[in-house]
Amino acid sequence: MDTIIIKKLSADTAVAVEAAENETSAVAEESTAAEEMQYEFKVTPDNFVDSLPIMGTGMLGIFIVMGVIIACVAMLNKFTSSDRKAKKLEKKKAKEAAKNNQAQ
Amino acid sequence: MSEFLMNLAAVFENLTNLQLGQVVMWIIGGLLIFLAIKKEMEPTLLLPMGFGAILVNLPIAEGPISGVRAVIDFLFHIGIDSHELMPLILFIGIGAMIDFEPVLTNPKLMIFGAAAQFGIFFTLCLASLFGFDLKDAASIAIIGAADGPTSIFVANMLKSNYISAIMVAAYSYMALVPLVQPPIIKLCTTKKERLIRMKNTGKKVSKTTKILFPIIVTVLVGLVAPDATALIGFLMFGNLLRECGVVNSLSETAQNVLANLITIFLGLTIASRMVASEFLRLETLLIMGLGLVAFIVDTFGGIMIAKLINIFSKNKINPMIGAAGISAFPMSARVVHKMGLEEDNQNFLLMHSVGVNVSGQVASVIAGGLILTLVGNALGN
Repeated sequence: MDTIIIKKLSADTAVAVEAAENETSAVAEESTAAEEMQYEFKVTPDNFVDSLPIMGTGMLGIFIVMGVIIACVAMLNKFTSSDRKAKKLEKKKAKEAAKNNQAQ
Repeated sequence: MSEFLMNLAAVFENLTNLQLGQVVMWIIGGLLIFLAIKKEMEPTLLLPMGFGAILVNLPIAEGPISGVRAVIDFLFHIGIDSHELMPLILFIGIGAMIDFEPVLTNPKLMIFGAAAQFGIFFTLCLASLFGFDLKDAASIAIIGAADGPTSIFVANMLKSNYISAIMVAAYSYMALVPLVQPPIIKLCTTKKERLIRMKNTGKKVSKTTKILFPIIVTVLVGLVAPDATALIGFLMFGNLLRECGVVNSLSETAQNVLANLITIFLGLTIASRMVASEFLRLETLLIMGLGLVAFIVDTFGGIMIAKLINIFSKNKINPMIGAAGISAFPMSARVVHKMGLEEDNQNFLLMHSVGVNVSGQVASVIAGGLILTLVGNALGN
């Protein structure tokens, strides 16, 4: 009987502790959100230096991606251009004409 | 009599909830409406934004948000906050409006689009210098994308505290491109450079290229900047609708009805963040200033890369077209074309500037995706 009571008490305590913890974390979250909203004007050269690698990587990334797109478009233009098709057609016609000549 | 007076007082009771900040926001809303109607600056967005700014700043009693604020907040929640739905759907319409032919005939123009994103990254560093944390600095910097949907998408993904100021700055400066860019262009170029004539290539692009281009760009950008897949995917889907030639009715709907419908709601939804308590802060002014810096440095970056290429190239490029890489489609291209005609009435730069402008559109989306990836990595997400 004592064991059951002790178990029940400890379960109640655990629930109470969990509720208290939840309340504390909610308050902490609220205060963090409030802190985030507060902006204080200050010059922070360290932050500036820290963000320089993002600038370098970002610009490099854009140039690389655009470079690949340029290469793809150039290839597409090369393989699908109307000149190329016309040349192919001419070659085909020339071949056919040559065949006809041979047959005659 | 006293009962009558009591009732009368009850009718006007709400007036006691009016605050000075709300009146200031009415004035700002009025200014946006004035710019939209009188100056015709981005009227499709500034008009709903201006009216919405007045609407959400009408006094209400303290307590749970209700009435019109609740409706507009709901629009914000479903249209922007949850999955950036509205900017993405708007991108289908924008994609359907864009003709990539000028850039497909001369793909080298894409270099200017890339260079003109320098303002974004420069502003990121500058905002960090002024004490903004990295996620806010990156969100502010993306104003330099000169592209409303991308700015909203990135700022919302990064959960910026200043989303309202960022949205207002992005759209206001896009509207102000005809005022912001010409002095910078003149400052960075000589008269001789502005007189350079550029030949039209006269090349034609096959339908296959036009159809494959949106698919290839989506796959490439998706591989490099997965966070931008939604943006580039919706943009290029719109373009595919336009170029495939078999769904003209869908393409027209995307260009007109869909884009207009979303624009109406987007303007009002943006205004939901223009509540006096959130908007009237010193940071808002600073963000507007940083946004302007982003636009100026973007313009500078595009012009300078053109000048750099001219040092090595035989066929000289008019450096003014570099400024059109800022995105802000199609205002920036028009500005450059107009400036070219002012210098020499036979200098037609429109094809080139449009080519640079549409490549800037693609580059700004890539920049947005890269910012999300790089800042996410830096923050350890």
